[in-house]
Amino acid sequence: MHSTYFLLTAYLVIWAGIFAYLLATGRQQRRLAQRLEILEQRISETEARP
Amino acid sequence: MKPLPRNPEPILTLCTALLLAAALYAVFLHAPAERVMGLVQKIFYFHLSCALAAFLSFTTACAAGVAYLVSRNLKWDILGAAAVEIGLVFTTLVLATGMLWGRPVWNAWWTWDPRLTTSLILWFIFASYFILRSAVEQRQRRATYCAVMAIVGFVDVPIVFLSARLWRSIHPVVIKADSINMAPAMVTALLASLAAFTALWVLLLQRRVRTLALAERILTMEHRLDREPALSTERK
Repeated sequence: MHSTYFLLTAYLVIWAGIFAYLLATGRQQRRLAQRLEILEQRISETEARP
Repeated sequence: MKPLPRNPEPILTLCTALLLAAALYAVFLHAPAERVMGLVQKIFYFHLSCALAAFLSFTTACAAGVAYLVSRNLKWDILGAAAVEIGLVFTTLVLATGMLWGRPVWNAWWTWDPRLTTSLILWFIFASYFILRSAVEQRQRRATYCAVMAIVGFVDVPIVFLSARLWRSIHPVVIKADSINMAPAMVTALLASLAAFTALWVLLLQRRVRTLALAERILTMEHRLDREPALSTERK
């Protein structure tokens, strides 16, 4: 029972660590997508200028 | 503008998921429990796989550093940064799972054993890589410093690997030059875990490289757009 507890905790730590990293990188990707949208808007405004 | 390369992520994700499922099956259902340590020994399969992923990351970062210093192409800096980031995540997992294995087996969360100490030093070296990265603003200079740091930091990787062999250490050495001290079913589980984590490493690396490259392009475009009104004023 004692060693099972450590085994489960270790695997939980691994998966939680990987998912936390994926979540953080996913959030960064979403922020980048927003910045890209703003950029596209700015470019189209610049191009529309006479 | 150059188009972004085709995204291999869906295929890589599928392969990684299948390999991870196979590794979990091999570890928990195929490999027997170790006679002395019992079930807690099963931590070893993913612990070693995380270590492999970390070593792959720091080796890639070192190679990317050399490539950057030779070519001065910023794509190598992006690859290096992505590799170090992933390496740091896996080194953290190696240290955490090592501690969770050490507590029931050694009756201590941490000992200043050569393997553990050099691993912790490795973590600090590459954690400071990001401090350096955020401290230098000028793009080319930052890339140069980070390339040098990745190359110098890599020196610790073979030291970590050899530490349990060269110095007196309580850390187990399972894989030796001429043999592996494990039952065949355990070797299968280990190989499955190593394959799964290598696939996961490739998936994460290509994902981070794409994201960092996109961030770089966005930043360049933003700078160009910010300079645009000034340029039109100059033209007038």
